[in-house]
Amino acid sequence: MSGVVGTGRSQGATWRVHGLSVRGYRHVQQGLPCQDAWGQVCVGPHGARVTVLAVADGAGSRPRSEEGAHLAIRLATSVFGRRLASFPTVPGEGDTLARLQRDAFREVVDTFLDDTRELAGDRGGPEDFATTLTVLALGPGWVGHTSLGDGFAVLRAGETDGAPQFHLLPQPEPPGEYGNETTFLSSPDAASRVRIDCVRDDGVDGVLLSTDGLAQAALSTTDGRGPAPNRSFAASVLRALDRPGPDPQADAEDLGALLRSHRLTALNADDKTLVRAVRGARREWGRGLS
Amino acid sequence: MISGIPKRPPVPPQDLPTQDMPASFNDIEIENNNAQRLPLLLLLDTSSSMAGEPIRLLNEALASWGHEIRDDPALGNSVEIALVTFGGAGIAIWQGPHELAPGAPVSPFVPAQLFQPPRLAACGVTLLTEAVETAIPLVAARKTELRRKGLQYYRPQVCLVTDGLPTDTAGRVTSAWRRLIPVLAAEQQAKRFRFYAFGIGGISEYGQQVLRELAPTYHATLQGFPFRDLLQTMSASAGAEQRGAEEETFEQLFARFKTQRSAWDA
Repeated sequence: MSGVVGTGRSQGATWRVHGLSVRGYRHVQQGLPCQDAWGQVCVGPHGARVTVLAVADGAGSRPRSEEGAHLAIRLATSVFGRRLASFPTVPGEGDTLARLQRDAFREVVDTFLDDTRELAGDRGGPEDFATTLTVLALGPGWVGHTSLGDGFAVLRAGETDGAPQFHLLPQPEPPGEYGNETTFLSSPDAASRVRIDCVRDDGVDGVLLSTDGLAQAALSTTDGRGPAPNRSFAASVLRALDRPGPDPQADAEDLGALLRSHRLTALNADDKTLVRAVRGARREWGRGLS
Repeated sequence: MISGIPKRPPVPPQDLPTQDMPASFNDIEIENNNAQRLPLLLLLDTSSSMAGEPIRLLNEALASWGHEIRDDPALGNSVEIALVTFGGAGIAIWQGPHELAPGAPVSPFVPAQLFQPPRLAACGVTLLTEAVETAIPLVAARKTELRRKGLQYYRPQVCLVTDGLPTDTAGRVTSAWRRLIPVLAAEQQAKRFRFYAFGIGGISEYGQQVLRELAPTYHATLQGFPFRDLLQTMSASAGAEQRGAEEETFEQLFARFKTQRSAWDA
């Protein structure tokens, strides 16, 4: 499927995961590759599995950001995966998970800088590989969120009047006034700008993780009070995973067509990545499911 | 002749945006337009020296550029256009084709998708200094408005186009423009907007010096009245801004004009 960087499903895990990156119209016009990437890994013993999801958005202005995004994903899944594999089923004191995420993030940054210096050789440096990174760790009864840059994550948890509730996890403070200013793994202030959060909730049964290419579609700013999840978007893309069709490839193509649609391109012509994950019994929420 | 913006490679059909959202997602509701905005203010000289062919060419270029930018999938929802003209007896602020009454509490910025240019006429004096001083608060007010609406935005662009020398209301050449130098320098330093200055037609050496001092990096002198090329450069700059391009990219956009100039000189 054109423009798809990767799709994957982990049927054996507690969470069913599907992700997709597509090249944005601007990159298509310029003949540039998709500079987004995503990845997942599932670790830990049976009954205490932890699913790690990660998305990265390579800086459009840097020459090797596509490599940077893929490297960030490889590092995030391996480092967070290794550290979380032995994480206790129930996090102990509140800050244990936060500390683990902070340590994992530092290791990712340090390795990213070492690897990109080596890749750059005498020409350029880590900044040529600039990329954002957002990582979600989905454990039994908890979610860890580590975010640098402008990626975002939405959780589905709880119901009101039978309708699922969606929650946007806090995003890092932007470093400047303008929408295209963000912080990258190669930025000197990455360690101080990363945002780390932990959610303890048994009721989280759906998540979305995305790069900023989907912010305008997946988030809403109607009330002028800062972004909140666009319920219709979250409900619709998760429903397709709650109740997948008979052909996984057709489902993936449907999501790809959504991400490349005129409607979404007009809101944001950047590359787009969406990772969606659901767990538990398949839900009957939404329209047209009978 | 100036060569146009380099042609883009053809886009493979399978990579073009698909026309519609797939039926399985047709219950997705998206706000009318919450795309990140890019305010673009054109500061255009419509004084008497622009009368005749130049103003005709400008009107024609604004109309065709308006169509192009409206139909551009990446720019149509994002770029917002405002015009400030200086000519006649003073300054005019335009919201699309309509001239706003002085002090009207309305933003002149119009989404590119809806932009229709005014029919400009040329006569009168060149209140360039006052025009720049009018533009700066308009841009600041638009940013405040966007923030209030919770919309993100890119660094605005202000593009000054003139073929003459700044005058006072009696048409006498004045050096009042010098007071803009520290103001524009501070605004650029604070990255409040990008400021571009184009000299066109038979702009004099002194006229070019004014633009050099107002826009030390981003000034260019174009032979004739290549408004279409100039406006397409603004679109290219908007695209570069959207993808977070480095300063070097914007300099290259202008280097194209400067290189061309050397060729003419030669």
